[in-house]
Amino acid sequence: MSNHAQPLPAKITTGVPTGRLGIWWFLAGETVIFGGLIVCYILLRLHHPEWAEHAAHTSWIVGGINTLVLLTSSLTMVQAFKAVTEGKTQRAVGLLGVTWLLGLAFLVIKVFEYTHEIHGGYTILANLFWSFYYLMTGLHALHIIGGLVAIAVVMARARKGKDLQRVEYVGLYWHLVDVVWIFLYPLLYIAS
Amino acid sequence: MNETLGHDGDHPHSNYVAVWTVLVVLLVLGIAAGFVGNPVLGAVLVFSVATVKAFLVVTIYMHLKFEPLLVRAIILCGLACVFIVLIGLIPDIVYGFGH
Repeated sequence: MSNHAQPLPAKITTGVPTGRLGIWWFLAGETVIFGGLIVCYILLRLHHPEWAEHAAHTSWIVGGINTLVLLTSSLTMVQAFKAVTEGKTQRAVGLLGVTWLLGLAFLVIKVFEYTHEIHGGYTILANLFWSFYYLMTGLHALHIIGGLVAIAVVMARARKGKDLQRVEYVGLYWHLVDVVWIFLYPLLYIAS
Repeated sequence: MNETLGHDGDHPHSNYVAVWTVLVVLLVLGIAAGFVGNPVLGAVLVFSVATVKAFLVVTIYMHLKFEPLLVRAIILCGLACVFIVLIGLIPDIVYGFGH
């Protein structure tokens, strides 16, 4: 395994590498999906002050721990990209592995949280607040799962010194998943 | 923050650990803001902190501040669509959604 492999040159037609440009378009679409949901939630929340009672049943401590986990995973992801640009492929692979584990930790914590809430009677059909809660956090969790698959693929390629530019692309996706959670956390856990 | 130019030549690297530290401090501040007695002030503080956190991740971790206008325009397209959704939904709420 090379420890000084450089990112492969990406095809450039717009001044921005095509792969990076494609990811940004994809992220713009993701912004619409999550932004639309968040806007719907905020407008309905303003119309239903009683949702505050339901929101009080979410755990700000568990949500806060998961926020810390995701923020840390963003740090390791961007450090992996930095390692790639410095030609430190092995370090990049290691950091991608740490990011993957942190993403998995987020999911495990989320599963325990869901289990506790469902046992408490707060299911997706309990009321509109919980419907939004499970829809938004569930969709976010699906994005985490998708990110874990993507990171695993990129990590396997990077281990062979191939397609290193994809470390940046999967990183952009991962950071957006982090940004979405940065807004979901106060909406669903704190602003009760 | 110190910035060193990456080998690909278009992504200067910031002190990412320092940014992470700021993000964690903001996380704590955001949680504390949720306990402010005035709910309106608390909500404003909570979402202001969240916006600053998102701005730091997007501009520094995602390097948007180093991207050309084209990339910023792409993201603005997405945000514009969200704004259109907002404008489209407001009448439903204002004129009594569900009544």
